[in-house]
Amino acid sequence: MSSNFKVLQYSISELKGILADNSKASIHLIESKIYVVYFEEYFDTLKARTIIVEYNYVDRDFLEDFAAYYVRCFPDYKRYCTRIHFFDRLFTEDNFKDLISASEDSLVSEKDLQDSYLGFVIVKPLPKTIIGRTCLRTYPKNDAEKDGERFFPIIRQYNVNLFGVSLNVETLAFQEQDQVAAACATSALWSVFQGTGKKFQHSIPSPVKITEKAFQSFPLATRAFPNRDGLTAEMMAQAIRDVGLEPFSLNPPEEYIRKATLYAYLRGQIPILLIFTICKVDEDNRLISIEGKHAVAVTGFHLGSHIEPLMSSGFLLKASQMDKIYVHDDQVGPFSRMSFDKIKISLEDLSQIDSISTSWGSQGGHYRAAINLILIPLYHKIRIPFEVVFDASMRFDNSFIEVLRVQGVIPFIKERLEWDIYLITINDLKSEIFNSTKIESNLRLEILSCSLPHFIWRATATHEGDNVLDLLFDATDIEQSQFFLRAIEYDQELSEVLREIAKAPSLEKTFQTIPEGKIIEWFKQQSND
Amino acid sequence: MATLQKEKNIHDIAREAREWVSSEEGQKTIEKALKESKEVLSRLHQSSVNNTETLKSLVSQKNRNF
Repeated sequence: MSSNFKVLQYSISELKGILADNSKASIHLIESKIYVVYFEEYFDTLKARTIIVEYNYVDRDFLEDFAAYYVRCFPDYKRYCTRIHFFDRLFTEDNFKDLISASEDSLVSEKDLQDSYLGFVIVKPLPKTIIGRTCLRTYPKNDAEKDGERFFPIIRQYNVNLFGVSLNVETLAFQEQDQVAAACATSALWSVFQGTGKKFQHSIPSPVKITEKAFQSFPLATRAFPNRDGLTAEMMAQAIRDVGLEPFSLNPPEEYIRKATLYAYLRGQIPILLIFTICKVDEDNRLISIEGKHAVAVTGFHLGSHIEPLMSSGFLLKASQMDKIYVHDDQVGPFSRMSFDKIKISLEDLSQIDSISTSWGSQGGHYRAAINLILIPLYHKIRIPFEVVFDASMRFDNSFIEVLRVQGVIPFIKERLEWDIYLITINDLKSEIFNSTKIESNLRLEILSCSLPHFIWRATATHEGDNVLDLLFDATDIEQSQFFLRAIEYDQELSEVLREIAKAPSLEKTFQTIPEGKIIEWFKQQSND
Repeated sequence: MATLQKEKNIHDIAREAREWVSSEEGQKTIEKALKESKEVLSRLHQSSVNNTETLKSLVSQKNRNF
C-alpha cells in the first residue's frame, strides 16, 4: 500500500526537491524564484526541523480555478495538490505513524505536533506558478527594547486536520499568482479578503471568482482569462464592492501621513492593498527603468524606537515610529519586509520621488517601490476618514494642550504628549478597559456601561509612558456633526485643569467651527455636571 | 494634610490656567498656535513634492494594470 504521506528532515534542498517532484516545474525554474530565497531565510528564522508531505490534497481555491480553467485544457492537469507541513521539532516517519496508529510506543503526541507546528504550503500541479494557499506562522517575537516590535494585527486562526491530528496556525493566507486565474492584484485581493472575511463576515471568493467579478463592470477591458495583464485599480475597487465592502482609495503626498494612515487602519485589523511602481535603480538610486506596477496586501508593521516630530509643529505621533511594513507579495513571499528607509529615487530631470525598499532583486539588481495608491476595504459604516481625526487631534494638541504646557500653566505635564491614533471597535476598547488594572473603578464602570458606536477612532495621549487622555471619535458619523464622542480622563490633575479651562468663553469663539470645539465643549459640560 | 495641600494646588493651577487662557495674551497665543497648526496641516496634505504626478507620468509609459 503506497503511503499518502512522507516525513522528512527539513532542509532547503529537500524543500526544493519536494516542490519540483509535486508540480510540473523543473528544479531550475524553482531555483530561479525569489520565494525560494525567501523561504530559506524564513524557515531558518522559524527554525524548521521536520516536514510532512501530504499527497492528494484537495484545495478548495485551486479546485475552483481548476474547474473554471485548467480542466478544459488539452494537457492532463491534476486536480489534486500536495500540502507540505512544517514543524520546529525533530521526529521521524515512524514516530508519526505511531501517533496516528495510536501505538503505545508513540514518542510524539498531538500536543507536541501542535506546539511545534509552523504551518503549511500547498503545491499546485502546474508548470510554473506552483505556490498555492500558504499559511505560515508569523515572524517570532523579537527583543522589543533592542530591535523595535513587530505587529501582525490581521492574523486569524486556520484549522488544519492532518490525518485526524488537529493543528492550527495563526496567520493570514498567501498564494502566488498563476497568471491564468489571477495576477498579482487578484492574489493581493484574495489575501486581503482572508482578513476582511473574518472581520466583516463576508464570504471569501477564490482567485478565479475575484478576477471574474472584477471584470464584470468593464466590458471593454481585454479578456479576463488567462489573466496575464492583471487588474486596474478600478477593477480592484469593483472586486471589493462585490464582497460588500467599500473601497477607500487614497495616496497622501507626504510619507509622514502615508505611514500614519497605514498604521491607523492596520491597528484596526483592516488589511490594506498597496499599489506601487517597481523601479530599477543603480547603486546611487538613479532610475534606470520602470519595471511596471505591482499590488501587495499589507498585513503587519514594525515600530522602531525613533518618533519623528511633525514638521515645525513638533507634534508627536506613534505611527511615525513605523519603519517597516510586512506584505504578502506574491512574487516574494508572505510577510515580506518593505522598509521606509527615506531613500528617494533620482529621475533624469533631477527631481526625486519617495520610495520604499522591496525584496525584489534579491537575485540580482536594485529595485525600489514608489507608492501609487493605498486601497482600503472598509465596512460601509466606517465613514469618517483617518485624516479628519488626525487633523483634529493634531490641532487640539498643538494649539491647545502644547500651548498650555509651554506656558507652564499645566506644570505637571513636563514633556510633550505623544499621540497614538487608530481605528478600534467598541468591543476591543471595552475589553481593554475591562482587563486593565490601571483604571480607577468609577471610570471603568462609567466607560464599560456607556453606549458607544461599533467603530471608533481613538486618539490616545501618553505622558512619560502613561495614558493621560483618550479622545474617542465616532467613525460612523458624518463630518459636519463634529463627530467627537467623549474623552476618557486617566489623569485626574489634567482632567480637572482642562474642565476648568474649558469654561473660558474665549475658547468657544476660537474653536467653534472645528471639531476641537466639541472636545473643549465636552470638558466644559463635565465641569457643569 | 498633604493631600489637602495638593488638592488646593490643583484648584489653584486650574484657576490660574483659566485666567491665563481668558487673558488677551492667552487668547492671542492660542489663536496664533491654531493658525500655525492649520498651516502645517495644509503643507502636509498638499506637499510640493508631487510624487503622484511624477509617478503618473512615469507609469503612463507602461501598462496601467498590475
